[in-house]
Amino acid sequence: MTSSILELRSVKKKFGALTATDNVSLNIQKGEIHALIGPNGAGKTTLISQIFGNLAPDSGEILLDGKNITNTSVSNRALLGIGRSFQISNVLMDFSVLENAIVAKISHSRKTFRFFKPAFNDPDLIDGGLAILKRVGIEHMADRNVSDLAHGERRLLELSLALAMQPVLVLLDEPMAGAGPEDTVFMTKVIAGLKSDTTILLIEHDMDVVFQLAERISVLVEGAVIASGTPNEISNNTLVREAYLGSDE
Amino acid sequence: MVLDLFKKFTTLWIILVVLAFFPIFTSTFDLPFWNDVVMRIMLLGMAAMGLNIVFGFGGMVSFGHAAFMGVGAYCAGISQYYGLDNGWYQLLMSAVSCGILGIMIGFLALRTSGIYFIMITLAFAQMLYFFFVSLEQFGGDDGLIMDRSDFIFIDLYEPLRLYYLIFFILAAVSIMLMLLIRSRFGVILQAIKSNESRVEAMGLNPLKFKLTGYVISAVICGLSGCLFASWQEFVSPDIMHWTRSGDLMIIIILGGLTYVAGPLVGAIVFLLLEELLPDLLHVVFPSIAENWMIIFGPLLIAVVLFGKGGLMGVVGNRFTRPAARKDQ
Amino acid sequence: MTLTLLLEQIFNGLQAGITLFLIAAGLTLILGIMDFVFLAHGSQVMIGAYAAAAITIATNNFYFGILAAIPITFVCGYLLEWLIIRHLYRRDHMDQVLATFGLILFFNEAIRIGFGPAALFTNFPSSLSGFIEILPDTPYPVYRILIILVGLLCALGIHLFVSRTRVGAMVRAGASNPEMTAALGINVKILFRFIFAAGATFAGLAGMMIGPLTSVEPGMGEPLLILSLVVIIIGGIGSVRGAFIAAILIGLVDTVGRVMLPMLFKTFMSVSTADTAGPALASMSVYILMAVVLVFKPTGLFPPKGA
Repeated sequence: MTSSILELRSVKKKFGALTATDNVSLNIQKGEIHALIGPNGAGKTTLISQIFGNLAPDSGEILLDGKNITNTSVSNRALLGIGRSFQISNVLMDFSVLENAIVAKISHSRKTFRFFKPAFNDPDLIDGGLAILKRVGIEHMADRNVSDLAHGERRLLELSLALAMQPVLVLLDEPMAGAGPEDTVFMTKVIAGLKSDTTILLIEHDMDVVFQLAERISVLVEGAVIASGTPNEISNNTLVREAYLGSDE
Repeated sequence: MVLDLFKKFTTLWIILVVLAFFPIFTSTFDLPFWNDVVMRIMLLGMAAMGLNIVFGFGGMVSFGHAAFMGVGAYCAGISQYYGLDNGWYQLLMSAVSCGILGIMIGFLALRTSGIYFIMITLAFAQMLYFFFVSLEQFGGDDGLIMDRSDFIFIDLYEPLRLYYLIFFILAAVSIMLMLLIRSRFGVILQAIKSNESRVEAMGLNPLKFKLTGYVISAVICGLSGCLFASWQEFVSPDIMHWTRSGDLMIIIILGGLTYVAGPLVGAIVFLLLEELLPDLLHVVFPSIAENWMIIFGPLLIAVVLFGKGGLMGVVGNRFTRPAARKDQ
Repeated sequence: MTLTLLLEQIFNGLQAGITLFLIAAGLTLILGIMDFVFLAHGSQVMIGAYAAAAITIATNNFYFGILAAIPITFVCGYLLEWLIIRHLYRRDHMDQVLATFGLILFFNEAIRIGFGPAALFTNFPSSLSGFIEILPDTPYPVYRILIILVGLLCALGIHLFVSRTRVGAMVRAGASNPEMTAALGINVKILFRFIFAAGATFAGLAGMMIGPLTSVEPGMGEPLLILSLVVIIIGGIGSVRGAFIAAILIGLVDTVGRVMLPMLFKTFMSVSTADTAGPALASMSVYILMAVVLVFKPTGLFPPKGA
């Protein structure tokens, strides 16, 4: 299909005797919110890490918009248009919220090897940084230090950083993990609002969130995709119910 | 922008102004010896400022930067051995040699991280150390006695010429660092120290920035070493002994590693202690006056255990903020 | 003739390598399990050498000197861990480098104050000063053979301890995954202190044994420290087996190179140039070896599994 933004072709990854990713083939359509679900230890994060380049697959191919990126470095994948939030908040802890966004903006501007002009009070960078924060509605926290932020606020900041490069594909690894119910509602709204601009691959344990957001769902069990389809298809799939949903509810 | 630099880096400007007028003080009170001490402070301070680009701002614990001082010093010594007395040329050569060496060592060493990085930088420094020991033609272990280099238009044998040459190069390096640390490059380097994987996820290749920082710091250490040779009128492998790499780190930590002025403050304290501790001990325990290290060692441990942030941190108390932002 | 010399140098290299292993064995565990950059390990060597030399001189009995020095080094290591080191485990590497650098300065200066700046010389007893013919017409000093044997015995002991005992299993678990040690509910504090003190003892033993061969002087531990760091890096941090192989390798390269390179150079250089360049280049070769290993295997030859 021409409208697929990300395509995995029989991707495999082993850690010693453990098969973390077992021949996964997956198609993510342009503009959809695709949820990746599965029990703990199913290899969801390992798969995302291979898509982002933090881990190299043992075999198989990863294509972004038809382009083979299997051997592309993380930073180049980010430049090609993949953004990622990590399972454990991954932001610049020593910096303020706006400064985090400014670093992202510097990268986005591609003008990185500049040695003289101060960056943190460059009006263009400040405007760009604020715009990045505004995207998820956290521009009011701009001047706060990251180390003072609450957990949910950090998750939002990380989401804004993942979106900063205006990616065509965003990988969100449990964006709700550890967030309170209010944060979850807010975050769900924010993610739903991104739908018009980008494609989202979402790992999430909260099934309410998954069924609210996702247009398609893939189920990963022991490293293999056992089902892929619309939320309706997935919730009626006997295999999935047995392996996963049934035991939960 | 210039005014901004004055405001942001008050401590560094104060130190530079004091250094500029210090010879007036020494000539008034007839203490020429102290000019010598201050030259050493400036030279080691400059090298430590260079190292601090990778160490304090980039978070890379390089245990081998004395090697670049050594290469700079030998650039002066060997040039002079072959009759090339021109100090400007020697400075250029030091910068170029250390730049090239910095690219090579940095490229290989930055493949590793953590303890392995500390050790591989130490290994390269030891390699260079023994390389110069092996050069029998240039004195091997014993080193090479040399004259002060011939800085055209500046006769270093005139009083205070060397002092001000060192001072102006230190001032130039300082201003460059003040700009660099707040620039886009400097901000990215500090971001890498804070969280490398996030920086990578932002589409920046950390290696490029770390390597660039490494090379800049190598060049600054090389310049310091080149001038050091003229100051000492002597070059030997001793200048690049691994303990000097340790000294440079001590200087940085003493002063405060997230501050541009930190290494300079550290050099002042370090060398003053070296000068004054023996005198002090002489009063209290005359029998061990020579063994001032017995006080200095535990002092160092105390600074590490209790004095997080170095002297600048104690005064400024703003340790965790990136240097690119804070007033210092 | 040359063959005899070569054989002798190989034995010298073995002896140097075994000595390095004794120093590196504890240090590799300190670096691996505690993730602690401990630079003052060379001081433990010096303390061992001084303790043995001083007691030997005082009692005029070499064996008594060694026997009394072993518990002294153990206690020194134990106290050092308890007083200072344990406060530094959670610090970052640069803090550890600096604090232990401070320890080096302190120990060297303390020894200088206590024993003076000059070297102490001791002799091993006449019963050990003979030669054994390791091959016909190739005599070799008994004392050096003894060092090799004691070292091998220690290596075997350390190997059996680490691979066969319950505590050893914890040590291995810790080396490949520091968090796991805590997760296993092991009393980490005691384990660390024990490893530290044992490591200090083996390093001290190395110092005691080489004392009569070299000069016992302030700062004698640092060149050995640097070499054993090289050994640890080549072998893979935390791997006792790696440390053993790398120690022998480094001992041989350094010792044999020191003798053979000048001889080689003399064939195409002036004698004095060769005498300066040879040993220095032999020293360099050790670091070249390490850099080459790290470039191709950034975590050493035998990284502990899972690391």
